[in-house]
Amino acid sequence: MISVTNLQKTYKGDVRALRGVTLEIENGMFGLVGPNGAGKTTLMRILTGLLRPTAGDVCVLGHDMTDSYSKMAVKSMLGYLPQELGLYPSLTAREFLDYVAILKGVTAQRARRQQVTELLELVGLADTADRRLKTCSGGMKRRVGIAQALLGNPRLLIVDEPTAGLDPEERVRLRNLLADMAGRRTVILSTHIIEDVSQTCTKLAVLHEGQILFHDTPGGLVKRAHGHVWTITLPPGERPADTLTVVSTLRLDDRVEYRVVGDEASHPTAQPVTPNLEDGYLWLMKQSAS
Amino acid sequence: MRLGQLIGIVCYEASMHWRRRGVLMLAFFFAAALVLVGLLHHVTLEAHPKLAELRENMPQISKIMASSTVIQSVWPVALMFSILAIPPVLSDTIPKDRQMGVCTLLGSLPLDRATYLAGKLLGTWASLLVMLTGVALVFGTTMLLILGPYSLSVYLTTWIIGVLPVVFFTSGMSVLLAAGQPNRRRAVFVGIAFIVLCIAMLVTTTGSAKDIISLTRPTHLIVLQFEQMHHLAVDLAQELPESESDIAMGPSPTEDLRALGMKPSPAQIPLTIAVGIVQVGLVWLIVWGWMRWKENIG
Repeated sequence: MISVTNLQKTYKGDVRALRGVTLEIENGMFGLVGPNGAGKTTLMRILTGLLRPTAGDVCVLGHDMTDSYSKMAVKSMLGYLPQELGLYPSLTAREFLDYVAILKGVTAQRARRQQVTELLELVGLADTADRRLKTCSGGMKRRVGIAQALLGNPRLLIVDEPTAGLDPEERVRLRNLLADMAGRRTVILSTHIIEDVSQTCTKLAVLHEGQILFHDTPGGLVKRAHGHVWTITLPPGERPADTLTVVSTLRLDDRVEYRVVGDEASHPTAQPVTPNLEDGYLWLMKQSAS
Repeated sequence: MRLGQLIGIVCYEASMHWRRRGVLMLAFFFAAALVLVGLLHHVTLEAHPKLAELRENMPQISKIMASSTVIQSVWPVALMFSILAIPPVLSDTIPKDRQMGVCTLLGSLPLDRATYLAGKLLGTWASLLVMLTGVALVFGTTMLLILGPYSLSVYLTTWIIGVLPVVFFTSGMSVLLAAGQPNRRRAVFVGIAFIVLCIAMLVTTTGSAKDIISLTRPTHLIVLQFEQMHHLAVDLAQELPESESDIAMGPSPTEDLRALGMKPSPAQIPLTIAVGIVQVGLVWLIVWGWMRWKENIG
């Protein structure tokens, strides 16, 4: 379990990335969503021990993250996929995973090789495992990143934008893989893609400008948007009122159907619809902005 | 520090150095320069009419002269190579991890800074050891074909006690001094600054005891090379007929150095190696401390 209390992080130049975040994350899959610059990556880097908080307490799997020995203990139980993963271009995918496995403490050669082969198959890289990483596509590199995070069977998995750069099929596959893994451990998924969270996470937190706006189940966030989501059909060239946030647009033969969130949709064609998680998220953001 | 992790970093670091071709290029140019200088020495000696005649009749003289040629070729090239070529090529060993973004991943692994730093340094040295072995073999074989047999013990001493420590110290210093740089470009600048420092130390060499702290290890150059040359000259003088003994290179180059006010002594060789190890160790400790401090302030 992870417990974060009144966490603050201020970078040089008085840039306040986190402003008193308090969170409890239990076993299972946890979604962390929020706009760019909300502080998601900073929070994840603190949880992985890469950054030190300016103030506040962080306890990961029973270890206090301000202590260096505890930090090392957490790192040995951790799998982390950074948002921008750097790889050694001269190594092959197999070699890179072997290298990371050694650094994770999997020193028995036989066990290491077996684990690497299994993970390469799991992420669909078995056929290209011996190609140098500099010749691999962005999606393939991302999959190598996911495989390295899973090395050593970590109890805590932290993945920052894992599906960025993946094609839709790969995205679904990865999403399912993470959901399967979550049964036995804690998985923290940070993403911009709300659909990924709605399909996999049992709990989520919405972070905005370094503060937690929401922390509950995805259903709870959806519930908040009840009565605030509509479809409005307009002739081409016309736009919904500025007070409404457009979620999606569907072009029909002679008109355009908008899905909107807002306080009130006074347009005659407005039809209330059942909200989904994306609506809930946008409604929350809209409320926070106002 | 975990041994398994350390061995893993050393193996992969050495392998990556070779694959990036930096070390391969160094090996090629080092070997080419050695062969070129060796050939020049050989041509110069061949032009000596008396020596050519004596060598025809006395194979032992030929071996001594070949040994002398080999030593005189290796020393200047190795020194220039370790000062001018190694620092800019290897100084980015650690900063490139930062530039490529691998550091973020490494920071999330149960890997302490000491193991990482030691692994990077030893991995670089491992790749250089392979390179030096290859160059020594290529040059040695080429010279064997051109000059004929020469003293293997003199040749190996030159490489193992002479070239290897000098190359290890300059490469180690380059890697460590540039470790804090954020990118490869800045690291190369540090490498160039290190070259300037080495040249300044080299030109201020006095042959006195203070030379043992010089990063370019001039004591090696002065003492080891001159001692080797002296022994070869003595051997040569013994082999030559009395009428031709003026061909041998004076009574002792070491004596000549003493006459110039320098005080070289063979005891300075282990001392300068020990001082070099302490210097690299100290810089390693400073860099490790700095990395830990950076980690702690987050």
